[in-house]
Amino acid sequence: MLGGMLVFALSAARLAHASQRNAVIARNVAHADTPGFRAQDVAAFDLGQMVADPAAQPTATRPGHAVGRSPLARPEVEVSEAPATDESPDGNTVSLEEQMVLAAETRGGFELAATLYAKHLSLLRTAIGRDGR
Amino acid sequence: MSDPFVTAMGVAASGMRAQGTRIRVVTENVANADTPGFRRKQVTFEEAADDAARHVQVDRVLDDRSAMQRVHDPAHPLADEAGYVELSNVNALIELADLQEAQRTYQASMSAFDQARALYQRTLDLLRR
Repeated sequence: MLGGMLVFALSAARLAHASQRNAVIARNVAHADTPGFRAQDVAAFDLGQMVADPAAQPTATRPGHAVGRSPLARPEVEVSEAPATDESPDGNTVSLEEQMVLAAETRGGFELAATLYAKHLSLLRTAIGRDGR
Repeated sequence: MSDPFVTAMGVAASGMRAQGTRIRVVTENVANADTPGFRRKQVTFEEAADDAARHVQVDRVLDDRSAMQRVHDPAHPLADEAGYVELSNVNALIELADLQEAQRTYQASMSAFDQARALYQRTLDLLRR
């Protein structure tokens, strides 16, 4: 049961990560001409950390408790300064071309997670026998 | 934490607004290219200090202090004793380059806005199933 829900939790975390990265990219693009602005990025989505984080996992405090992985463990998305590839004379490190690539990448990840979420939902629907799709 | 889609759209919109101001100032410069004594204006941007989303805003509109263009035209009503008239310091090439850059960033902000909207829509579509 928990295993089935885990797919939802994972795709939701991936969606959250992609949407936050999208916001960071939008900010970089908007600041493409702001003097002294340093381009930012978020750390890549780390599936291993999310699954293994011991703090977010439930513990059995009574004999009857079923211990499973919590589907709610969601790592914080950290925003940090991106390594600068080219810096303009006014100290700005945003490269629009680079940001476009990152935006496409983010969109791809978002679509993947959204499709996975929808697919798993329809799988569950099939299992409970509603509208047979 | 605020909604990342709304944040993205707000920041992208602030970028478009700032570049729009820049385009307006550039067109003012071009329109005043032949106005005697006109100094070209230039826009600088900054990060809005007091908000978590860190929008862009226009910092200041400054006068360009570079030398004015002097033309020998003794018949001009504004000519000095030596017969020179001080025209503006607007350089059409600089304005054109500035306009191009502003448009490029405007369009990039626009596509960032578009993407945020598309992802928002995609999330809503999940609810419809």
